[in-house]
Amino acid sequence: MKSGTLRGAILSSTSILRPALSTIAAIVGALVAGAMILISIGFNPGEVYYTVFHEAWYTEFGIRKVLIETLPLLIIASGLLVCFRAGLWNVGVQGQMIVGGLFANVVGYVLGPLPSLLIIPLMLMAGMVGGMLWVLPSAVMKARWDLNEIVTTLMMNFIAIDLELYLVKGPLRDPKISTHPMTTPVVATAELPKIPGTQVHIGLLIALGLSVVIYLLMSRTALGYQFRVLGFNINAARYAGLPISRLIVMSLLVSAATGGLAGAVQVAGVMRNIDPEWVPFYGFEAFPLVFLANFNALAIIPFSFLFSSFLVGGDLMHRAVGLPIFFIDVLLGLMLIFFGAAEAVRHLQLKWRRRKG
Amino acid sequence: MSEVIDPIIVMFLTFFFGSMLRSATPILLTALGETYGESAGVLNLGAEGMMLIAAFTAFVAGVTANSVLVGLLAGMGTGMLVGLIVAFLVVTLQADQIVVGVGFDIAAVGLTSLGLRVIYGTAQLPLLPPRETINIAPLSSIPIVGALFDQPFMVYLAILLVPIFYYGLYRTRFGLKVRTLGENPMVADTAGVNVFLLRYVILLLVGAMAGLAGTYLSLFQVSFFRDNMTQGRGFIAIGVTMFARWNPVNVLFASLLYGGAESLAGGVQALGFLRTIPNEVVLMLPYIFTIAGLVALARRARLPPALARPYRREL
Repeated sequence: MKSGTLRGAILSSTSILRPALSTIAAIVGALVAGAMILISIGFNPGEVYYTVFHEAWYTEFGIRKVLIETLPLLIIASGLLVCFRAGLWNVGVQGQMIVGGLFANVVGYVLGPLPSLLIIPLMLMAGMVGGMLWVLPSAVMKARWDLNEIVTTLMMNFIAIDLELYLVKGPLRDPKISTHPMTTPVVATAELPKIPGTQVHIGLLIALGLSVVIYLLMSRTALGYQFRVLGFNINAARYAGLPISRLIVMSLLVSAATGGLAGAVQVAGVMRNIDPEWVPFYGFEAFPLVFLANFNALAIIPFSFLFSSFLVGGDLMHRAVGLPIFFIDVLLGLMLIFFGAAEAVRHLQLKWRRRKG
Repeated sequence: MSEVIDPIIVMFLTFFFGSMLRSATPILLTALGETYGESAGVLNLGAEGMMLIAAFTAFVAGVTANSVLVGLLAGMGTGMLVGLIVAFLVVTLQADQIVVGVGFDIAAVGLTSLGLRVIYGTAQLPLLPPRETINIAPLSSIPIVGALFDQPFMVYLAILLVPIFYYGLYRTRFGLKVRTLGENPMVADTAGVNVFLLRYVILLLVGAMAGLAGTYLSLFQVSFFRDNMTQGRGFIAIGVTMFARWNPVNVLFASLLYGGAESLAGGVQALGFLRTIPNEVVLMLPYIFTIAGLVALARRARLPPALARPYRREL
């Protein structure tokens, strides 16, 4: 009886603290390890970290840029959450984003005469379709033949980059821009309008809405529950009679649709057209975010903001302090490693305590 | 013979055979290590990061000491060091192998690009003279396929390792232990195998091989370091390992398939052969081949049951 209540007490206390502790450990661990790297290459960590957040949060240019850069991270991370929860690792968001962006770009000038209210939703949908098309082979190969989706989705990134180069230099090149190969820009009516009174486009509202939708999908619907069962234990899912293949394909499609949507939002809200050099790295940067948010779609909102602050602040810090922005990728990678370590340590601790109790 | 064929075709084929082995080598080296890793139940998704960091340290050490040997030892040592860190995380702490692996891949891109700028700034990168090739005398003078026998030393090393790795995995007690570990770690444990120690050893080997592959990329295939120069080769090696079904001999053939695709792409680009096909489409070939290889050969391949699972002694 006594040991039973003790165990209960430990379990309940850890279940409240668990998410927060690993996340805090990951961020603190990465910042400390990052500080050691900075000292070893002759930078002052205090100055670097201060500058990153000062530039990101205390300048008007910084905070606007942080909000804009939050979007792709938030959209991508919301989608990744779904497939990660289902136990599938889509590392091909980069390619899905590129293809989604290309699709949206084409729709945004081919359907130019349409009014904004029609063309904008069509562009965003085109982006999602592009993203989904790009994951479909990997999803089907995973569902039918159990081919590792990590390998195939990653290969599709490189294929997408080459496809982009080919299309932007060839068939989609705007003949009116002669200096540099670029696609034809989307028409003015296809650009995402600004949220009234701000400098931020309505993509922010779309992204926030998306994370709420994903939150409800995962916590309140049968489909979300089935995804979680699949991710928890594929054998359990099989015994429960769940349609495994369909769930695999669907979860990857959701994550790719958001990848494509992120590409479309970048085109419609920020870039207007595509440069052959455009190789977004958000797919990898969003990866640690999903873990730090402990697979909670609402928690992804503040973490996207935090990650965006790192990226934007890091970029601006580069100009101020002279430290290359690549340091930020080191930090994000370290966060993921420290998160993995922290979760593992908590696991071991819990078991050790249970055995004693 | 060569006078009846169009000289451009002869040049193209000579280039193709010569560069096929060179393109296959980094994949082969990494995949040989991964074969042991995956057979022992360790899915090392950090291979890409290991290769990239090793390519970087090999380049820096090689240029600084003006010695390829120093670069080689540095690259291999770096790979082993990363392997040791990964082993601590996934074997001792039992952390999730996918999370840790992807974390290393992201951190490696940042670390190497950062390091390159910190060390060399915006100045021109120093260059090492290109590696001498070793030609196997009578064979290398055969037209066209002779190019196969005029390669840098690392290429021969990689091929020589194939039978050794095959023998080690399928004909020795050590190999049996490794495979038992991937099948059922509890059986291995009961039979007196030190599961934890063996997985450490395996990850050191995996790291050493990825380190060699990275070294090859920056010191042998070219003589410089470029941002993210691995270009997905670590992941390709993981794919190759899977479609070779953990058999080192098949790994050789699968790597050659990839190498053939890459050198085809390179040859078409270099010689302006087949101008009707756009360059970018040709550059997709290695990736398409990797996927096609997986579909053709790894459909319903039986994965080692303990793959990517930490081993815990249950009481």
